[in-house]
Amino acid sequence: MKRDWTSRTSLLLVGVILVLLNLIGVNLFLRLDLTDDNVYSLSPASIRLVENLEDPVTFKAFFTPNLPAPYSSNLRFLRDKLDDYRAYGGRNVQYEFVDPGSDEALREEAERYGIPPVQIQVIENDNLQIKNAFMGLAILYGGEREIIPVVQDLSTLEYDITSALKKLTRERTPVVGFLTGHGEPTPAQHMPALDRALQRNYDVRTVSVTDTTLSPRPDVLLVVAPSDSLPEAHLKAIDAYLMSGGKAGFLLNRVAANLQMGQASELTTGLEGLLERYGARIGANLVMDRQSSSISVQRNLGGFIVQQAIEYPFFPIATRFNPDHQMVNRLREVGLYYASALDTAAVLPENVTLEPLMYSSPRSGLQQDFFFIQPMVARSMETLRDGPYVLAAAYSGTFPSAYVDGLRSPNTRLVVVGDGDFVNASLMGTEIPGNVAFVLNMVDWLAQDDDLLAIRTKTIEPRQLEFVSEAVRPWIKYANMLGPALLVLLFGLIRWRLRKSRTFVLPGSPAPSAPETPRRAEVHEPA
Amino acid sequence: MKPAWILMKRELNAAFDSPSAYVVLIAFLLIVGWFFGNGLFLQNVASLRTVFDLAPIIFMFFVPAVTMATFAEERRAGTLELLLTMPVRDWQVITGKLLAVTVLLWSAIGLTGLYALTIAVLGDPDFGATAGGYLGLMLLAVTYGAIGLLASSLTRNQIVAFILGFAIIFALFMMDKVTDFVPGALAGLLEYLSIDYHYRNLLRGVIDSRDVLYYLSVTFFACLLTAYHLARRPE
Repeated sequence: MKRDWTSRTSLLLVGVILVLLNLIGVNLFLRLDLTDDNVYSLSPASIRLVENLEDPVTFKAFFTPNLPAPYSSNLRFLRDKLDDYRAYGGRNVQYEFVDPGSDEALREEAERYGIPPVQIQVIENDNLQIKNAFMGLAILYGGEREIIPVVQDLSTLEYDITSALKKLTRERTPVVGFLTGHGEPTPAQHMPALDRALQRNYDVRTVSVTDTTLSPRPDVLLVVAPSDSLPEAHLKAIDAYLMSGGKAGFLLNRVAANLQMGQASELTTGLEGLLERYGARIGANLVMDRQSSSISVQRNLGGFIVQQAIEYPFFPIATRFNPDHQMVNRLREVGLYYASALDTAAVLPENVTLEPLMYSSPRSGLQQDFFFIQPMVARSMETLRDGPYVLAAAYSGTFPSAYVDGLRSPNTRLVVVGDGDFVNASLMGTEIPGNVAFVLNMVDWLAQDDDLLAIRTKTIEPRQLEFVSEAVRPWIKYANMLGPALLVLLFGLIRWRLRKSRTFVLPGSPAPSAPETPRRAEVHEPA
Repeated sequence: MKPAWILMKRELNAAFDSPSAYVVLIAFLLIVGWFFGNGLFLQNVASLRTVFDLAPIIFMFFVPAVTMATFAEERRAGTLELLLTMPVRDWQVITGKLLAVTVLLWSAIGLTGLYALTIAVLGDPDFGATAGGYLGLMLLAVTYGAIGLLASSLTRNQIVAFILGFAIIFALFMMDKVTDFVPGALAGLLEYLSIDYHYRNLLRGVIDSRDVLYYLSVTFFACLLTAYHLARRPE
């Protein structure tokens, strides 16, 4: 038969066609985003923002091309993202990519914008060398500019760009104030990741009470874990702030616990009475949850000191959120440290509504009055099943004043969380991403910035499995390990039986009409 | 298309009549299952990342093993001439054999559906990342298979075919891992040629026509080269 079509010429020709096809395909492409949150597509908030731009915006990406892995996909990703923005923004969105590597003027420009060179390792002429690379983005709008110094986290890229655009097109930046003066952690020192993330959209300040008012007056007040009690003048100042329409988040420790000492006791700051007037009450208790973080403890095993990680029920991991509340419905998990449950049965003033935000798992319980928090004692409390408890709640409406009879606030918002340590990185050494996202969402909700809420949690955090008891775990594990292989074996056996019944003549049965023809001309050796 | 279909059946029957197919399937499923099962409650995360990260590497060894005999053994036994002089086209022979390999590999991938079921029951996995991962793995398997066939058509020795197939797949897999060592202009090209780079794009849960086009192109070109070599006598 003819085989001319496998000549070298046609090979070359087809090869060239394929290369051309791929070259065209690189520039003409379709993308289908199947992820649950459409992580890789623009969200409606971003689309609305660029569609309604009054002036043109220019994205200037200072990007070194052809970077080695793991930075290689960042350029393609950023270009795709900017293409998306341009598709909706039309003529009002321009972008350009420049390579500062070879151009002194561009390098100076990058430096002026505050885009630093990032040092990456490359191998040139058989030597490991440190090379300066640029991966920054400048967003220019109406004489102002916002900078993303290093495009690194691709999952938050859209949020970064959109919040920068928002900041540029906004009249005034809202102020987020952290109350100080009563032993609270400070944002810059104790919550660096949260501080940095808030700075992108807000003016972050520390707030103290002068005379009878908060200064500066924030748009959103955050009261995080005061350890000393507040004088009445300060409580009055907070009350007055709320009565004038201020919005506040209270992240409070109702129980002061010390892991090293293994002791815990109730903590009274004076805020309890104030919050109670608004209808919010945090119980003087500690939540214990089987779904919890691990701590590392030292154990003495026959003269050897061993570090062992054990689950510590007083550090609950909350994975149940109110699915109908925009602030939390996309959060995956928040890790808490010595949390107290909110009393949702407390009497609410009229015109105030309560929405629970975050729950402990069903396998949780409460400790009250006497606290035993030693890790080894805690381990023995395996049978927890009184949950879920409410760990955080949102209150909205017109609140009655705690100090002036008959005075009611305009429509405003409060958030109360029964733990003040979960954002404090200095206590636990790390800030859990979900924790930071929770507080950022809280601030956005309090500041009534719902656009950002929608984009924020578009991160791809791994999702926890639901709790499976120790007894069932091995079954599931081994079913997965061996199940598929057993299915293959079963298939083989059935096949073998069928063939046997076809090829073997059983005594007493009629002879087969035709002998089995050999199936193949050659014998395969097993691979 | 019919001859290709018949050939595929013949190949599959042969594979499932000998222990070879079972060995490949069971070994693959046991290795992947071992890692998935052990990591399941350790990581406690509803994702198939363990499977998707491991499978391409196991396939790197298994696919050449499955395909090494396809043409090399037929050549050695002298049945290739017989096959090629039958009233079937070369491309039908190649398509039939590739289909058979594909069915075998896709059944292996399909059987990992039990893991997907497990995490779907115990948690809430991201649909996109899972679907993208499966699509990527299926495309990657076909591409591996086509390269394995090509390697088998180059020689009459199975062992040589296995080593050649493994070497080509390994080289294409590592393309984007060595971009540090080449000048910048080449890096982009090498990355585009890498099997793993496109796979990792699909793993994110975004089905991009660029990645799918790459796999189809490589598969097609490998089959074409196979046809070219079948018409020639190897040394």
